Amino acid sequence: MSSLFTATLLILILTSGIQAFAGEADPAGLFRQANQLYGKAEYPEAAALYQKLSDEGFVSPALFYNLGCASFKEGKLGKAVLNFERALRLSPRNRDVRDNLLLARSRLKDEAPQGGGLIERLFTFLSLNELTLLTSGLYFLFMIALLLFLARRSEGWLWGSLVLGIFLLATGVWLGARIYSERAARPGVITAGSVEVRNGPGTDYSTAFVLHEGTKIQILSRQKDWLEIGAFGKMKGWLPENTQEEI
Amino acid sequence: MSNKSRCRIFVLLFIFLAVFGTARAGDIAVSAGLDKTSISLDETATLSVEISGAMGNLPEPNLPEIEGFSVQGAGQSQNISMINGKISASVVHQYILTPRKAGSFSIPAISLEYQGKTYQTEPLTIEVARGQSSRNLAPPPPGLRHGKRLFVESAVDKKEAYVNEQITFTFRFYRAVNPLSQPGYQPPETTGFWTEDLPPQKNYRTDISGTPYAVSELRLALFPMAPGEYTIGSARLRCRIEDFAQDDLFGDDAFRNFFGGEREVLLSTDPIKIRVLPLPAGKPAGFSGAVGSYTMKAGLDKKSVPAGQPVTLAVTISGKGNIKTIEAPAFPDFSGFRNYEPTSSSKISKEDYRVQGFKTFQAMLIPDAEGEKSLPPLTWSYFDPVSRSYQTLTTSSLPLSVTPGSGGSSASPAAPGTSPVKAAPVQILSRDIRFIKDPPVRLTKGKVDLCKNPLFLLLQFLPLAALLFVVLRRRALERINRDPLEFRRRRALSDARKALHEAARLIHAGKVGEFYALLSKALQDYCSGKLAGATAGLPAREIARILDDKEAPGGNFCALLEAADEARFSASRPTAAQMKAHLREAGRLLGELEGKLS
Repeated sequence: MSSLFTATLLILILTSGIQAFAGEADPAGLFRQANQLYGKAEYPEAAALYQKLSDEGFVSPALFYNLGCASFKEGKLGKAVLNFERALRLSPRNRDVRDNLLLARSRLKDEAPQGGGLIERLFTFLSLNELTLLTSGLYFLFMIALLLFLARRSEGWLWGSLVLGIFLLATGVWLGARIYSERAARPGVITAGSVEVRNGPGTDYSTAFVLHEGTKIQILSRQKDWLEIGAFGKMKGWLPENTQEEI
Repeated sequence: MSNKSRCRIFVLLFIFLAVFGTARAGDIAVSAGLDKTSISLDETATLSVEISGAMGNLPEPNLPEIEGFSVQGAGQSQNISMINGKISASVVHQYILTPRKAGSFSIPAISLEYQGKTYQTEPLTIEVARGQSSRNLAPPPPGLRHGKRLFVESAVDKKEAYVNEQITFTFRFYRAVNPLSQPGYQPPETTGFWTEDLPPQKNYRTDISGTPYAVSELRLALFPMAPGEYTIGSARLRCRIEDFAQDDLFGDDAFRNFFGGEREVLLSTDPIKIRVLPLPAGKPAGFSGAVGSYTMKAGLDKKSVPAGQPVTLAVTISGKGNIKTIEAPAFPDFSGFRNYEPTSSSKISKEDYRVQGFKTFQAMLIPDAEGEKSLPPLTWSYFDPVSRSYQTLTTSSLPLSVTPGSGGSSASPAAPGTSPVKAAPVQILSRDIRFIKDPPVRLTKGKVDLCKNPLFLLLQFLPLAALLFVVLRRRALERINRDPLEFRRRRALSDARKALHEAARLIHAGKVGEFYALLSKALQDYCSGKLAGATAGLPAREIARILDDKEAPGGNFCALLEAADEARFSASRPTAAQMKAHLREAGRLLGELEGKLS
């Protein structure tokens, strides 16, 4: 009974983020229109419509994926990689997104390590929302088992709550690590053709290295219009904020 | 995450070592060097002064007056290294030396003071020749903006090109004065083009209408990706220069230095329109879009191989063009071989500012049976923009001698007509991105992270509240079980008040008998609860006596109970006002009893 109640509440929570968009341009219609333009090989126009939806705050793995495809077709590799990365963040096990991202990366000028190791693949196997839901679900089950144990003093419920507690601890650590890693160094992608990354936040500082469109970076800090970034795990420098976009 | 943790550990280690390293931070070393010791009047030399030592604030060198040269700072770079737990740092200060006259000059020792000691470099010698180097004889480019001290221009080698044909974009920065800081270059927007940088940067001097200019030239290779009209955007350059207005006013170095300010200038080139032509009709079969001029060769890593053992077929396409986008030639069905999808590797060079190099495709083949084999020729086509025609390259057949394999089974030739159908891996003819997703698509608006949703976070407290409730309830039950009389005593007043509240409802319902029965019961139960059941079942007078013993108003209690009994059982029906008066009396009596019996 309480599980049913919990499930209902979860569904309510999940749908609470969805806001009605009555009165605005029909987003589904715009999406369909963009797809039709893409089908006619009018890639810049399709990309502009997808981008409009994205700028209006709409979020969907398919929207980012299609925007990535249209950007790729019009030769904007930076935007393509950015949007495939955004789609992958929401839908980490989608094969099409992974394949397109790999193909886009293979066309980049900056040679980057391909994909990630097994640990990284496992670490990002679930999206952040999936991981949050899993942890929350385990938490509810754990608490229900604990309550039943307290109510009935049954050894079975004690073992049940212990097992659930161990799983809850594991997913909790996983979730915490994911949130920490995303907050500690926010990922971004270079969207300008090429960027001179400097040794300080300004053009007066010497150029440390040059990054090209589509290269993934880690945003470490900000100073006015300049961002301190890390790249390839070992390089650090500063670049103008408008030469990149956060994933 | 791991990088960040590593960084933190490194920082801690760094601080630790820096603290313990200060004791021997006394010694530093200083050295100076020139990138060239012989230059012509139109060239510049770079003087580097390196100061190295243990960690600390390394001092800056005092550059003396250098005869025959004007000196311009070109920034500094710092390097920190840790070897065997010892941290050392070095700072290299760079200066651009521009000769004023020809001759042999000496750069005097550069000195600096650090912790009371004076350190010096060795003096250096540099020769300045009068002649101009050949690379400086480039003809003045057309369309120069005469009279300006700084300007930029851009040009392309062609404004009409085929898809995937190289267009060389050249950016030139002309300056009659030296900028005060390193200029910041922002490349042009090149949507629709695949781009490749074309190093190195070229520096030379030129005269335009009698004004000498130093010119820096950057090149970029552009490969159009689709036919149509495209625009190469403006390239921009930002730098700081001395304020010319003051220069014009005084025209004297001393005054300029005294009054002169500096300002930032942003220079930009004009956009360039490019017409990209589609490749002409008549594309050969297997043409995959390569444009340029290429050659192809193929070879096997072995001439003889046992059956069942692999041999590698390498096909190399080399030439000028967009090497990275070259796709593998179509590998035919190598009858009698198991073959695998080829892998590729490429090497690119940019000699003479042309993108060129080679790309090698390697495929592993495993012969099934022994015998003298011949691998069929491979063909591959490209478009040559010079002759405006498609060219098809064909390799020669490759002989391979297959000796009997060790297993025997794979090497034994099958009887004619009975050989099994051999499965071959499917060849990938071209690679492109997967197609877009079609509706229905769920488009949500706003923040998508569930862990930031306040309602979701609030929901997580629900099980905790339930747990708290159960624990508290359990504790209460345990208390009751432990001492039921004490529990009754504690609850006696609240139970009695609840009963009186219920009785008040009965007045409005007009139920006289039930009202007085409830009133009596409430008072009796209260006394029974408070006195641990000592009054249970006793008549009213007996209860009153016990209450009197405890200095409680037993008389009032008895009177009220008797009044209730009378009202219940007498023939005359009491009014609502009388019932309310009795209810008030009961409430007041409960208050008094509570004061005495608690």
